[in-house]
Amino acid sequence: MTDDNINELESHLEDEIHELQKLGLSAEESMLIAKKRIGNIEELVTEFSKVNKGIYFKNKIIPYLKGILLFVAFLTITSLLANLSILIANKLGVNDKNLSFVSVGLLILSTFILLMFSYKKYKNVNLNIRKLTSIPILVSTIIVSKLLTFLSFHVLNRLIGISHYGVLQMNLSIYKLIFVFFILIISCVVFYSLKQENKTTILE
Amino acid sequence: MKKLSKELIGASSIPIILSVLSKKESYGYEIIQNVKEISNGKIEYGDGTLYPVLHKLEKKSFIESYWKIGESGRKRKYYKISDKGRKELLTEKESWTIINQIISKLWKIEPSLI
Repeated sequence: MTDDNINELESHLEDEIHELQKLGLSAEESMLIAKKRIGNIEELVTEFSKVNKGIYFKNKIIPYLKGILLFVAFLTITSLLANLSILIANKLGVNDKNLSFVSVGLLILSTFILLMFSYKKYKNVNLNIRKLTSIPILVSTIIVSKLLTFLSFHVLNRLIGISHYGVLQMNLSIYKLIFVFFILIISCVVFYSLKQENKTTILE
Repeated sequence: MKKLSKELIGASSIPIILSVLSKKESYGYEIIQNVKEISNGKIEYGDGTLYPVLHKLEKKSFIESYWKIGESGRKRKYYKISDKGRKELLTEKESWTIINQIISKLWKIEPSLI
C-alpha cells in the first residue's frame, strides 16, 4: 500500500469511530468495531495491490535488488581493498612475502565489519542501516569503488610488476570463493531450518 | 432485509459511484453511507473494498482526487467526477437501461417468473 492509501484508510477509520461514538459507544468499543469493519490487513493489501500493481511489483523487487547491489558493492570494495593493500605495503616498505598478509588482513577486516553490521541489525541495535543500504547510496558506492579500483590498477601497474598484481588477484579470488561458499552454507542452513520449522507448525 | 449478491454489487459499483459523485464531490466514508441510505441498506460496500474501486476509477481518469480539510476539521481525500467520467456515466446509463428493458420485456412475456 502507498502512504496515500494508508492516510486515506486512517481518515476513514477516524470517521467511522466518530460516528460510532455519536451512537453512544466508548472510544475503545468504537475502535474495535471500526477495526473489524475495515477488514484484515491481508485482504486489504490483496484488494489494494490489484490497483497498485506497478507499486506492488516495485516494492516486491526492491529487497532482491538491494541484496544484489549489496553483494556487488561488497565485491567491488574488496577489490579496491586488495589494490589498496599493495599501495599500503609499498608505502610502508613491506616485502613481497608479507604483502599477502597485508591484503588478507584487510579483507578479513572488511568481512568482520560487514558481519558486525549484520549482527547489530539482527540484535536490533539502534543502527541506522537503512540509509546505508538505500539504493542511491549503494549505486554511488559501487560506481566510486569501481572507478577507484580502475585508477588504482593503473597506479599499481607502474608501481609493481604485473606478476605481483597477479598474486594479489589470486588471493582475492580465493577470498571471493570462500565468501561465496560461506553465503551458500548460510543460505542452505536458513532454508532447511525454516522448512523444518514450517513442518513443525503445520503438525502442531 | 436481503442484501444483493456480491456479483451484482460489483457490477453496478461503477455507475453507482459515478452517479453519487456526479451530484457532489465526496470522500470514501460519505460515499459508503450515501449508497447505503439510497439503497435502504441493500448495498453496503465493505470499508476496505470501496477504495480500490475509487483508485481504479481515478486511474482511468473518470474521477479526480485531492486532500481537503473538511467541515469537521479533519483531513480527507475527496473525489470528484471528471468530464471523461461524466461521458462514462452516460454510457453506463445507456447500458443499464438496455439491460432493464430486456429484463422487463422478458418478465412481461413470462409473468410466472416474477
